[in-house]
Amino acid sequence: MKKLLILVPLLVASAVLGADQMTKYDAKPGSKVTLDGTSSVHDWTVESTIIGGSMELGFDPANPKPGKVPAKVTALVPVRSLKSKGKLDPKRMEEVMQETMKTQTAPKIEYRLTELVLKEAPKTATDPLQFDSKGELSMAGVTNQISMPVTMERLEGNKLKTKGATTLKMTSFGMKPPAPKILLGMITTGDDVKVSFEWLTQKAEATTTAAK
Amino acid sequence: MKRSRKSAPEVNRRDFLKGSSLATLMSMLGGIELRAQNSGSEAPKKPEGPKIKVGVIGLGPWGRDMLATLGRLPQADVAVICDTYAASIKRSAKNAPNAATTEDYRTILDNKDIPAVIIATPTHKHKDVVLAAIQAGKHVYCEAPLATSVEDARAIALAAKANPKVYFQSGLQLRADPQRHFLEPFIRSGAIGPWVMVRSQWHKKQSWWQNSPNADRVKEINWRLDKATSPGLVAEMGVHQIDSAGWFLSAQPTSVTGFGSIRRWDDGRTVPDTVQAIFEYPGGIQLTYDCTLANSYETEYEMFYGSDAAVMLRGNKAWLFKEVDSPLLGWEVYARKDRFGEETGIALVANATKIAAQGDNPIEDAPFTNTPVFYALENFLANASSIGGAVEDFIAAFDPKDVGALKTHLAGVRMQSYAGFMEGYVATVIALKANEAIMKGEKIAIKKEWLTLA
Repeated sequence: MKKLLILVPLLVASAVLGADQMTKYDAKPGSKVTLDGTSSVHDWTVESTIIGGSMELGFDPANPKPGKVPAKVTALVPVRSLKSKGKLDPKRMEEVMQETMKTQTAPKIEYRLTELVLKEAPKTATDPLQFDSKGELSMAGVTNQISMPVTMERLEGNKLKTKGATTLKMTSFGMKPPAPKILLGMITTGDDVKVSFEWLTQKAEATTTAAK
Repeated sequence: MKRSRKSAPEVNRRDFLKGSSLATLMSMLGGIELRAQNSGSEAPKKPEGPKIKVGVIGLGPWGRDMLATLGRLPQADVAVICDTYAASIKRSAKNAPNAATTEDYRTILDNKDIPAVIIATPTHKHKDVVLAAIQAGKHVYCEAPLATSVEDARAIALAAKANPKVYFQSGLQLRADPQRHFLEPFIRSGAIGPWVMVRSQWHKKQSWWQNSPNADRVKEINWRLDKATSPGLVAEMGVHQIDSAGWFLSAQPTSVTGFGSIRRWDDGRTVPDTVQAIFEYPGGIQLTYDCTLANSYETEYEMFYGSDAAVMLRGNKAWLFKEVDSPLLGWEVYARKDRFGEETGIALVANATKIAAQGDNPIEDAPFTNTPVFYALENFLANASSIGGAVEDFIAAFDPKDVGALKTHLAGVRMQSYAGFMEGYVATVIALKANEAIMKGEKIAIKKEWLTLA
């Protein structure tokens, strides 16, 4: 009887660990992050194809259950990799952006997930998973909590494409909306910046780690 | 080269028109100034990119000239200078007072803190240094021509091609010259009518002989005068202008006929001091090129002839000479004219600001006053930084072994104008074939496959 009493909690513990095993997905080329803003002359856009980092999922993306799911995500974007997509003096735009984002002291935009909640079970196996996410975003040396809906789509080759978008205020990250002199004169930029991303990850070869 | 055009200033007739002014118009007797507008802010120009450490290998007259140019570029941090001859290092020190010195280029290649090297050794010594530099992961600026043999040039180009993490720029400095990037679309737009021909020259009166108390040193430093080590005037000097003609024509020659002789400096040299070469291009267009050390008349310039007009490029300036029966383009009504004997040239000045356009001195307000090598080195430093940064970002985020994805990523990096390994290779092969034609006094058909790396 004594042996049984010891064995039961052990079995329960191992079952919990099994459920919480984390599968790692590494960043792969093919991603895109876009920052869209406004100005007194025209809208501006900068874009990078580099989103580094990784995610660890404690659930099966093929058969998830709604509610809070175990997940760890860290992602980063080098600020200097953000390139202006506008035609008007893109180099100058990038200089202004890098100065505004304090690249010298904060060369990366970093994100860390703190909570991921699956809104509902997908209706079909190919439907993208719909999540609400919370996390910490560090930009220009300031870290803020942000929330945004994200979708996760399974692709061939054990790949996941995670998409999301949110609107941020430059001032909330300690950045003053720049008013650069470009071409015809001074232009002013709006405080709001829409950040959208498509992040490609692939199951790492050593796939599982125990959840902490 | 596909990336290099992105930064070329664009120009159209409206731009030219905007640059004119009533003051200029009234000041001239029918003379009309032709200008493009500044494509950027009128704020003082910032350095192109962050400071970058470079090593300079080869400190002969040209290497020292480049070193002096680097001294005017705030983004250049000349960390080490190198030459096998101690006196050359000493002579160069004033242009790089904070640089370390070495007689062995390998010490630069072993230094992980130096990401880029500029190679200005004698042409026949390029290959070993360039291959070792690429192997060491250094960004390379290699003077043109790349080599004195097609095989060596090919080895250099293939090594550069196989190493996408390394930025390679061949020293065809005219490809970085903003004046030419202004003129290229203008000439190609049809403004001069159908092509007729091209003519270029490089004339100086100087022996190129260098003296030294040491007999071995005399032989070494006079490598340009010995046919065993020299690719000849047409390759050493002509490579730039011949490449420029092909660039503007968007074509490569199908044959070259050469002539050469020693006309002034019969001092034991085994290469001609005066050469002519005629290059045939598809469609019956020919480039006539001559180069001499025996007479300096009209120094160096290039003429592009169309049936409606001719364009002359001289230094950082250019003029358009219209035929009387050519159609009115429109903008030339407002452009300034300069007299050349019996001819009237319409000044073609790129990138001038509106304020500058109100001046009346075509010499003073030419916008690009730096030398082509200044722009070439400025762009080298900027591009080396951009590629270096892009590679670093990629490796930090993804699997560095994914070469295909890395190449795709690097293809998206915005580059300043430059000539890459392919342009350097093609220009070198053409120039070497021209030298061969000159030395043999015959016509050589240039096979298409010679100009590819496949």
